[in-house]
Amino acid sequence: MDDRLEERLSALQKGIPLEDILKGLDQREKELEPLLRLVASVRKLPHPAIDASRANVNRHRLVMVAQRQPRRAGSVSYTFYTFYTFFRNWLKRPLFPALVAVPVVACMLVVLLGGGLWAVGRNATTAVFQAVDGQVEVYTPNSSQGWHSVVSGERVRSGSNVRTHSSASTLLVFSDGSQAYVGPDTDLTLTALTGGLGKPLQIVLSQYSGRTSHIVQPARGGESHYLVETTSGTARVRGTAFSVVVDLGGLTRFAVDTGVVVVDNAGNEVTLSAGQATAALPGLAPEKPAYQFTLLNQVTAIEGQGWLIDGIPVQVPDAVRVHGNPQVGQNVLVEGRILADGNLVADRIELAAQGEPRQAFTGQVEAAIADAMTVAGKTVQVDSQTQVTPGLSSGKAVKVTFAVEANGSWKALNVQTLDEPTEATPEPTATPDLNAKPSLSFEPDELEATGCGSDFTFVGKLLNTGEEPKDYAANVLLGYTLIKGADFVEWVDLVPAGWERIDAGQQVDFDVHMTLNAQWGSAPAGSEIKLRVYIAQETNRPEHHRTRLTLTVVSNCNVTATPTATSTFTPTPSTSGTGTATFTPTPTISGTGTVTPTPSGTPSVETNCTGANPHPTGQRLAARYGVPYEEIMGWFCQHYGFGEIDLAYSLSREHNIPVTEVFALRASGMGWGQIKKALEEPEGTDNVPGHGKPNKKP
Amino acid sequence: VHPPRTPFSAFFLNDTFSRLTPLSFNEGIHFRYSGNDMPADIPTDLIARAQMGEPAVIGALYERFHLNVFRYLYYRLGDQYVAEDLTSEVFIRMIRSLSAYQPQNVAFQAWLFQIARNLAIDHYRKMGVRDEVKLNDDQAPHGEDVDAAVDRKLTSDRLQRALAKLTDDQRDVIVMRFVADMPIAQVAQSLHKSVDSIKGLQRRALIALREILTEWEVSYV
Repeated sequence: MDDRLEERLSALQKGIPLEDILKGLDQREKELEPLLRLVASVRKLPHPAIDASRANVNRHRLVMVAQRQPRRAGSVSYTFYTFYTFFRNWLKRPLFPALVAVPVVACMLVVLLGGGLWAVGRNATTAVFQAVDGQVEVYTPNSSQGWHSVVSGERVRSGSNVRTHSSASTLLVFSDGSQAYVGPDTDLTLTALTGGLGKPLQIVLSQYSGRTSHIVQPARGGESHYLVETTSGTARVRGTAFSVVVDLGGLTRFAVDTGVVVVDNAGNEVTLSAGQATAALPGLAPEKPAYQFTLLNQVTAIEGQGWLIDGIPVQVPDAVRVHGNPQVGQNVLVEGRILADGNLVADRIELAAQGEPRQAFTGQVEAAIADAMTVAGKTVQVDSQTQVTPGLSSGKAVKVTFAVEANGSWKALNVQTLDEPTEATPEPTATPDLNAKPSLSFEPDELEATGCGSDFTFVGKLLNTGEEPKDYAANVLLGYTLIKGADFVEWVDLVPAGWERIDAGQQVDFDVHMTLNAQWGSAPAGSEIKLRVYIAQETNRPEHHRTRLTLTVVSNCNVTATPTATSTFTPTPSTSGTGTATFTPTPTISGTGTVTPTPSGTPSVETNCTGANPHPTGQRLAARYGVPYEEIMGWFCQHYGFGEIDLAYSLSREHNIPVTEVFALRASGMGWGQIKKALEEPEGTDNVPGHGKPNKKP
Repeated sequence: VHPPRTPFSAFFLNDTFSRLTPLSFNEGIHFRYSGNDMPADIPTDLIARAQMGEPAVIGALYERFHLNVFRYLYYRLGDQYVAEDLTSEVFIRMIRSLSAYQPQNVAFQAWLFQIARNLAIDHYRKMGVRDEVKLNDDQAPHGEDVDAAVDRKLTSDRLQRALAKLTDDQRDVIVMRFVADMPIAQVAQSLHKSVDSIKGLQRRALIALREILTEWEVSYV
């Protein structure tokens, strides 16, 4: 009967009508009739289907996984089969457990040692969820958990998938301070997240749908990178802010706020600079870079592909996905590009809530007269109420925020240059302690170094000037922005870059390592690099910390017809009762005279300290502390930064001890915070140098 | 050789993904499907291209099989969202295991369903879902009053609830054969059984399903 049933079922599968099959049943087969009717009903049912948008997202994901998969063909290799066979035979032998025990123990030791190393590099190979808002889920393949909701502070590692539901969003913060905002209805994979233990930090995000916005710190070294892959192209960046929107259908829009982004697809690449955007489709070259626009306003007309948004004509090609089916009279958010002919073409439209209109576009300033300005071929009216970034000139890339006047003209409300990177201040996510009123301050707030080498290290000090013990700062995270000379910077490292807690009155030290590239060596004397360190995050009083530390590196390379300064530095380790060492600088500057400011000793160390001479900061410090300029430069030529010298003299004055002892403490390995603390403690307290961070100074 | 640059405006002439996609994406990819008595399998040259990681072929395989895999998982797990997630995972695993796939041993769809079935079993293990279903074995369809029901036509929802009362193998064979429309030989491969045993299993599964639906007064004629 099983065979007979199968015979009839096969006929049904072939498309033979049920009634015809039933007619062919003989008496013995009558029992099959209800079963065949049941099968016919099951086959006719409208079975559930996967949501079309999810299917598209999954397809994108799959294609990208396939692209990353190593190209292999054929079956399991012969080598593997041979090994397998050999191993299987050994399993059958009685002595197998003993023979296998030794390598197993060895493997366990390797795993234990490896575990330690893993812990060191863990921070670099994970990202942290912050500002989780709504339902954000993560799934890590081969883990015991399936998709599960995340909370702020949770870590996510390479290979994990992240998705946000409608109205949900989160921030992914990487170990170098780079951040990725993940918007609603976004689906992505942290495809690669490597780094730590001296390895370059490599971040690869594969985005299948939705919107992400990125603030990327300058890449550390040539092998470091930050990539956002989509089925329609890959964005490569090295220190910039940009966004990626992947729409169903694979249309991807890449838009740059600051810096430069290279987008490549199908072997073609375009370079986007600040304010520019491109769109790309799978398998095709990205569109030419174009300036972008955003309109958040009412739809005033829709005629085929022509839309009017508050009277502004926008082309909406059929393939552009319009989210939410907006109608005339409703508010929409339109994002698009300004083509070379001046036409506005939409890349994306979505229904928006009623609210304040917001209209903006980017472009280069082409002309500016008293009451008007032409940007990207669009003329906007400018009046006394228009806020314009000072120093604006022709050729500058700007973002213009505007309103449409009754006569249809555009009135500029704000014209802002795009060249200066904006600082990102992520929202704190931990619960703030409302009683705590911390106040963080960089002291000093300016450090300067002069040199021609490739490596510079500054020591920054961050002080919580909160007055009462309750005024602690929580989850402090530093950020930095290169505001000048970014082209010379290979990488920047803040160590440490954050603290869980800084008590009121407590001071913490951090190092800012800056590695410059080869171009710095050929930069003209006087060239500058400026880096600004800021408080990117603090939980208890996030809006309060406006303190900034500005680090300046001045080139003294390629100096012609200027006196050559050569310092002879004489560190004199003189043993004192406290066991600390005393160093005395003896700078000698040839061409301007030779000065021996303090008692000297042996051995003598010659330091080449050529360059801009006299150095203005050196002069300033000399004047401030009433010591010879050469003395200041003597310390400087021993690779102490001006900030450190300033600090050392300040401590020396404050505690009435020779500055040489302060430098000796630093040379012994103590951090500046420890030195300050040690000097502030009453006499008799054990101050054992060497418990601080390792000394990096010569 | 890079594809020729196409004016962006040309992309906007169509409105579906497949039409937006450049021709080369699906060009030349056709599945052999010679009637219902033949396994709906794919040519070996396409398998080779998929094993080489050719995105177009991978995308086409997804298009061809994802609905069947999803439905199988939906009827097996009873949860649309979990089924969607696991469907995605089936194809990710497909890519990772493709190099070991040997077309001469098992039909592609059957192999794919083996992956799906293993994932479903893993899911049961993690979530304990199956045990819960068995505990509720004597219950009427959730949320329905058997006595009060008048119009009880067979729906996908009722089918899913009824299938949940069958054994795993019985449910698998019904879904694979009559929802995914797989030939019996492929079902046998997926379940690692002989065709003869699948025939017996199939009949017992249909009888059991019919009894459940009759008990629930669900009409399917």
